[in-house]
Amino acid sequence: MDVVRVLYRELHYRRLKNNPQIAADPGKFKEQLRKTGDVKRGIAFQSVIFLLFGLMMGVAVWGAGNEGKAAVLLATYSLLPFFMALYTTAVNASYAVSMGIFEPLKPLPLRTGAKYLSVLLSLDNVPAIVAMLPPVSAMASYSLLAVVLGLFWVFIGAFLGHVLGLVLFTLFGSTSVGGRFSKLRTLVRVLGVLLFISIFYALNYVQKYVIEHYEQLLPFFSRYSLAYPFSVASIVEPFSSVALIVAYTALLVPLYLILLGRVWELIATGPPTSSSWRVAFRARVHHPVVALFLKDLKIIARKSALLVGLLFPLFLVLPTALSTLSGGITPRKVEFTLVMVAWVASIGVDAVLKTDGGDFSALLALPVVLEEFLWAKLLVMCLVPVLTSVGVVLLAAFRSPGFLRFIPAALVLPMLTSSVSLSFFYHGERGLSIPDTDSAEVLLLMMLNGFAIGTLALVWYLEGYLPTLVLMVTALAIVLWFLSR
Amino acid sequence: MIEVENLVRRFGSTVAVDGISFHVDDGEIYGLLGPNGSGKSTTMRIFAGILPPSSGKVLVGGIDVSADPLRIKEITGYVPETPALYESLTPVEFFNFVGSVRGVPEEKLQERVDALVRAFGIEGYLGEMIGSLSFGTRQKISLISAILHDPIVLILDESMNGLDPKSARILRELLLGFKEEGKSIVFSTHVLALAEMICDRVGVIYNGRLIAKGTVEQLKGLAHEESLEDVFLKLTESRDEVLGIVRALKEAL
Repeated sequence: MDVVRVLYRELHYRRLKNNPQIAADPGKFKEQLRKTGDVKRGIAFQSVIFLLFGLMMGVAVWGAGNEGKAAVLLATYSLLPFFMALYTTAVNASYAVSMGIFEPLKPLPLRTGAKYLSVLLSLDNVPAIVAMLPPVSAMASYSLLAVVLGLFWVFIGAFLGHVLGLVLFTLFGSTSVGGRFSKLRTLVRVLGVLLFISIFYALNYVQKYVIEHYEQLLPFFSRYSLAYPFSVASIVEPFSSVALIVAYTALLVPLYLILLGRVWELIATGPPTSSSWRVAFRARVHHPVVALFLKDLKIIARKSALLVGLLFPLFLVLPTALSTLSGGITPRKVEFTLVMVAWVASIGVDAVLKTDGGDFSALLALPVVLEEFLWAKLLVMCLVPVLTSVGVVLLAAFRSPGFLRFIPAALVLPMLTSSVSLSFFYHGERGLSIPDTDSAEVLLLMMLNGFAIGTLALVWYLEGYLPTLVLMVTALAIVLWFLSR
Repeated sequence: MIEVENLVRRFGSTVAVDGISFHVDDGEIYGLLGPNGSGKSTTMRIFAGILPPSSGKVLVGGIDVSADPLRIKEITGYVPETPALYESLTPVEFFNFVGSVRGVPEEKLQERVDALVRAFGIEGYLGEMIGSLSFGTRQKISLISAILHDPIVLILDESMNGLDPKSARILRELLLGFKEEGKSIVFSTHVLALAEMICDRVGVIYNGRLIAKGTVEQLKGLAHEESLEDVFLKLTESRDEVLGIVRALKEAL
């Protein structure tokens, strides 16, 4: 635990060093490091924020009325630690490695130093597990056994997310190599990550299919709780639940141990060298904002873990978008999807601000102003949500061209939440810097953007599209003005 | 030209740079010498517009570093002690990125990078990720990216570190060429023989203070010593300390 404590402090120390305003003031630096660099204090603070969120979930489970409904809610909420673990493992593993905090460990006689990385990353998921305590406890009003089983499933979910995050980090490599066909390899990598994260939806679909058709499938499966966690059955049915817990543990633990060895090998050997492939220098000059934008995109495309972070909003809204398009398309459904896409776009801020990592100092000697830097970050952050929103509108318009009127909203809404996110983290900043983004702050930001986007959705519902469009454009102009100051 | 007047840089209660004053003329190579932690890098980061001074005045090319650090970054080229590069970009992408941010015209960028890449012999690494390259190659990339926009002031913080003898010689000749062109160059190194060879004047910083400045010959005369190394050890009061440490080490080992 001592090693993890040192690594945790070192990670936050280096993050603070990336903020020249703080780094230049030793008093402020020490104070910030005292606040964020202490494991117990840092995790406790984030856990308190998440606990407030958890209490709301707990009230919902408690008031569900019957065990079935409560279990459905709990099964849905249990996705939180799973998603959090998947995200934090994939994104933060790459970030922590790029910050170079494992360099001092390399010469030490450690067999699998990756276990420290694993514990370090798991710490980030503690708040999400703490948030699950109220809804799990609320199950006590229905069945005490469900509390125990629910708790087990929360841990299994978090562990599964963590293992899948490690798979992402190792399967696609921490950093791709240059050389021949590098663009093709990058494309394959992007497709690979997309396919990987859609496995979750495939599982979801299988579970849904099995539940819907379980009578036909009963001869093949004695019970319908197929090997998939977070199902209602896995919370309320003790026998199938215990069997699944044992099965999952038996599968995940060896996989986890193998992955740890592979992760450490990746960290210890450093980035791979490509085969000798000579390329000539060809000058291509762009506007500074475009150059910064392209730089970020290249880094993200080569670090699969960051790619997961950038694609995460797409991952979260995919079911909503698909259900909008699969059923009868109505303006309400498209509106809802656009609002959802814009809301979850806020999450992208974390990956976007982690792109530079330890290489941020390369920017400090260059004549880059904060405004250009933020514009580039805004463009990177908006890219996936804007493409998703526009894609949904275009597909809807394929059936009914009238939906094309939603294109401005598809462009403006993700830009609005993205610019609010950047304003949230850069409020009061004057010079180039990378603020510290912990999960509690991202959660607060999600709430803030949820409030903003909820207000717009209400206006949209009550007053119609055009007044809302005027309102969202005005809001965007105000936030961009604020961001540009 | 660089003019430094009573420069002070504090980090909390620690005074890293304590009231130093000197100037570097156009077409001059000025060597900043001093032990580790003496304040050289802090001073150079101030010259590069990265760090603001706590007090005092620093004019680089006639521009006040406190008033317009962005303009300072435009006219200077800075090579840090440890290469600061985007490791997941290739050198080609990094040079294009730096050229774009610095607003270098495409034709000029092509011409200068081609020449520098050939000079430092890194043609074979242009398609590789910077993170997979050796320290020396990264140092060369750092050097090229600092001079590709043809700066009027060059700030080199121990930039010879990690360079092979051939590249070190090329850099030395390059610096002498820049000097001929009238550029001001501030150069820090621990290789005192090199400083003796290329610097027109040197300043010795010790505990944040500029304790001596002048030509190498002037310093030798002042300290009554034959070599710059002896001058350095005498000025930084380290000669007796070095002898004592060596003696103690020999006894302990």
